[in-house]
This record gives sequence, structure tokens and C-alpha cells, in this order.
Amino acid sequence: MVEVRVENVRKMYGKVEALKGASLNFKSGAMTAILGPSGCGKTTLLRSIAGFIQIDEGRVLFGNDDVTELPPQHRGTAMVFQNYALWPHMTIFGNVSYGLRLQKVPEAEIRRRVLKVLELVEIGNLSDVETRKPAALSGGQQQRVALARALVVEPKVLLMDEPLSNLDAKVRQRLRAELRRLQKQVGITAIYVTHDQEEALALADTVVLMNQGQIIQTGTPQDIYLKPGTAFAAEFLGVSNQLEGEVADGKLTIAGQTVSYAGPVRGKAVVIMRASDIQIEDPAATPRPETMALTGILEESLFLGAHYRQYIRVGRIVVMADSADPRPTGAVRLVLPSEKVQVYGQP
Amino acid sequence: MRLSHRLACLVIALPPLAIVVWLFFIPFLSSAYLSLLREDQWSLRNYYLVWRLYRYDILYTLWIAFFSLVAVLVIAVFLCGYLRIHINRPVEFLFKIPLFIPFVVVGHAMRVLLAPKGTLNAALSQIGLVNMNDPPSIAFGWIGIAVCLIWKNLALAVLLVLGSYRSVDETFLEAARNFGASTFQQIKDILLPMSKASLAVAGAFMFTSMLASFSVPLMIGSGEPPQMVMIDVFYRINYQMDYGTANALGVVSYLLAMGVAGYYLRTIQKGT
Repeated sequence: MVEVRVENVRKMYGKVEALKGASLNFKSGAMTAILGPSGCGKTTLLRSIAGFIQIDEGRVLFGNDDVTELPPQHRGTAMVFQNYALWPHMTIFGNVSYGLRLQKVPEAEIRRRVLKVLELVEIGNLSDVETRKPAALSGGQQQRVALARALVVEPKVLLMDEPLSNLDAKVRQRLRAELRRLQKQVGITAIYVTHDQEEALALADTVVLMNQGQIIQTGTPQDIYLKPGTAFAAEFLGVSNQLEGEVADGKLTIAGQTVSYAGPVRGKAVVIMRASDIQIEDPAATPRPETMALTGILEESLFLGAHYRQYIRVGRIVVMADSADPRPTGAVRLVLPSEKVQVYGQP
Repeated sequence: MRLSHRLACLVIALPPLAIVVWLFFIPFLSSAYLSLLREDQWSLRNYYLVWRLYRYDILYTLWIAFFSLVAVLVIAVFLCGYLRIHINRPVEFLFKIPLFIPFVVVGHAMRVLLAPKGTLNAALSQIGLVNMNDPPSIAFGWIGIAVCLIWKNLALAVLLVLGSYRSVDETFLEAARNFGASTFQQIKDILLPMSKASLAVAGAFMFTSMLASFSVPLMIGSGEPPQMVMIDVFYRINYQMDYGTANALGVVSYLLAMGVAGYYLRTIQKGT
């Protein structure tokens, strides 16, 4: 187990700055998820830690060892790739044992470790792993083999680059739980890159939110979700509505409607409301204290399986709100607790 | 399939089909037919002459083609592997230059370079490695022909093998590199096995082209037996007016090439 530190890491691709001085500590023995939209620099950060990318500035440290100049093979990391990257011409056994063969581990020891790790990742029937090739496995099974290949060399740090994103939703959810179990069981320092917020929140001990080459916020999944530090964080996490507003004299004006506001923001503002926090009421219902209410016209209600998503026009914008039941179209009131309304100043 | 689509397919397929029939099947059938005639009589004498006079030439041709092919493939596999892993466009371009040089020019250039009084021996004599009073002759023997064929075909091999290596996703190499695989191990364990089918196809193309070498062995060879088969065909027609034996030699060459073509077809069928 080792702590990973990146200090002021910069990386340019031509004129594009993919990493703008990222500094971060990845806790020893913990699972850290790097979360962000496509192109935010999360994979570049992971590959910089792996050593596949030479950074332009900054340092990468494993414990007290500066590994910035070391090639990937001397860093003691193992990577699980998005496309699994299992070598198709090798058997399952051949794939998993490759790293050990390069380390010239004795044959009997290779056999013991490979079978043990395949059992750990629950690959199923072990009798044919020396004859079956990856193409004969399902996507989920292939990812288990890829994970086994990474774990068998007992790396200091396990790096995972969107390892579940090519799998269907059900398999993804099952493997997510298994990944968490495995990481805790092995106790390895793991860094997990994803653009799927649900995955990051479910898997990680710590979530690092990135955007445009910068680290926006770091914290526990609960902190990141419940106390987003910026409009971007609030908007990115959860199904959110982003509205423009203005604060003046203790009043917040959104889409021509005014509500009371006691927060610190003044002037032009961005208001974030999560769809799951909004309740839909009859416009004639008695207003409740400690809530913010807007009126609008419910235009459409779509069934999404677990809930209905309602589309409500408020002035010129359409707000999404989730509810257990469908509602008829027409005038409605949108209500949400004041503490759930996130208001950020506009730069 | 609608009639218009069928017609369109036919129109597209017709020109290459016509070329294959006109330039390959008809000459082949004509060769096979004429090789069985001797003084207007059905006879196997032409094949007897091929066996008696040219069996060593056939072996010589196969040996040169095989040796050159193995050399080209070994060089291309590792050179392209290196260029795939450590990208170097200028070096890659240098190796592709022979693609644009005709065989006749290659032959002439190698004569100048490899002849007893050629530039290679002259340069080596400057550092005392070669005695110019008794210089070695690389040009006028099978090694000279092989050197030409290797140099000329290496460009095509680089084009095909590097293309095939580039189609191997970078993550396959990164996964190996992550475990400590050296450049050689990445080539041997990952790139080569994952490009086997393309290598086989490239090999089949080059072997057939080497079997049919004419201008290079004409310019570089010793002028004495053994000769490559196409030179024999040339002499048999131009100096002895013996079309029957020339056709029999042609049919033997066709059969050698067809063996390779069969291998090629099997490989691409496996790949689909």
C-alpha cells in the first residue's frame, strides 16, 4: 500500500493544456475516483501516474519516491483498460500469467498465483483457462480477467481507466460492487477514472471532480454530492437544472419570478436545482415555510422505469422534476426545500 | 437484391474479371496447352527438358526467393516493430523510398555498389578491409540478387507490416509495457502474433513477385548456370526459339506461385 501524490502536474497537447497544475493526494489503501466530463483531463492524469505520458511540469510521488522520470514498468502500477486490452492470441492463463513470466517467477509459483487470482475475481470454471481465449468470454468476464491480470503482479497502485464503461448496465452494477469488495479485500491503493457520477459515488472512498484540466473539488462521495463547491460540481452531479438568476435586496429573481433569499451571493447568479429534490404541487396549495416555490406549466411527463420525469416550463426555460407518479399537464407549483437550492455567483 | 443492384455489381466486377481472364487464365491455359505440344505432337518432352536442364535453376530460384523472403520478413518484423513503438517518420520514409525506384534502376545501382570494382569494395579498401587487386564480387552471384530483392521488397514489406502493426491498438502494447515488456518482447509477444495473418499475406505477395524476378537477375547474376527461371524462359524464347520448353517452365512457375496463392486465399478466408 502506498500513497500517491501529484504535485502541480501540467501537460500540454500542442496548444491545449490538458492538465493545468493538478495537485492531489491519493490515500494509501483507498479507492479514489477521478470524475469529470469527456476531455476534462482525468485520463491524462491517470496516464501521467502510470507513466504512459511524460508530464511537462510537476512531480508524481509514490510514498517518498519520485517516479516522475521512471518508465511505466518501473513504477509498480498495473492498469485496467477501458477496452480490457486482453491479448486475443493468448489464453486466459497466458494473459494473466504474462506479467509474472516477464518477472521470471518460477512456473509452479506462476500457476499458483494465477489460479488464486482467477478465483478471487470469480472467473468461474478454472479447468479450461489454459485453453480458452478472451474472445470466448462475455464482456464482464473479460473485464474480470483484465482485473486478474493487473492484480496478479501485486502492484503498488491499481489504475483503472473507465473499466466498466463498455459493459451493459446490469453487469456494470454487479461488477461495481465486486470491484469495491476486491479493492477492500486486497487493500490496494486504487485510482479509478470515470465519467459516470453514480459509479464514482458508489465505488470510491474519495471522489476527485475535474473540469477543463483542473481539480474542482475533492471529498467523500457524500460531501461532493450534498455540498458541491461550485456551480459546475452541482450541475454535474445528479440530474440538475441550471437557471440564471439575479440577487438583489434579499430577493432572488428566476425567470421573472421572485423568491426570498438569505444567502451570501449578490448580483448575477447561477441557480442549480436537482430534479430529484423538486416536488410538484397544485398551484392553489398553501405555501410551506422554508421552501422555495416557482410556478410553471407542466408540458410533458415521461415514464423512466423507476420514476416519472416531468418537464415544466418556467418562463422561457424548461425545468425537469422527478416524481413517483405521473401528473396531468397544466399549471403547477415547483417546490423545493430552501437548503436544496444551490445559488452560485457568476464571475 | 434488386435487378439494378445486380447490374451495378456486374458492371463493377466486369473490368477486373476481364483482366484476370485475359491476362492470367487465357495465357495460363495457352501455356499449359503449348507446353504439352512438341513438333505439333502431344508430348511430355518439354517437361522432360525442364527436368533435365532446369531442375537446379528451379531450386536456385526457390532458394533465392525463399532466402530473400525470410530476410525481408525478419528485418521488416523487427524494424517495423521498432518504428511502431518508437515512432520515427523520417526513418520510416527512408525505408519506403525503394517503392518508387524501378527494378532496373535497383539492378544498376547494386551493380555500381556491389561489383568487384564497385563503390562498396572501393570504400572498404580505404580502410584496408578489401584488397582491390583481388576484390570480392557480391554482385555477380545469388547473394547480389538476394541483396537487390531484399532492398527493393523491404519497402513493400515495411508498408504492409507497419500498416498491420498500426492497426494493433496502443493499449495492447501499453498493457505489456506496464508489466515491463521490452521493445523486443512487445514485438515478439504482442505485435507479431497479432499481425500474423497480414504477415502471411505480405509474404505471399513478395514470394510470388520474387519468383518472377527478371531484370534484377539479368543485370546482377553471373550469366552462368544456375539462373533464375525467368532468365531461362527469356533465353529459351529469344535464342533458341523453343516456345514449348519456355511454356513448360512458365507452367512450373505458375504452379509454384499458385501454391503460395492458395496459402494466401486460405489465410484471408480464416481472417474473415
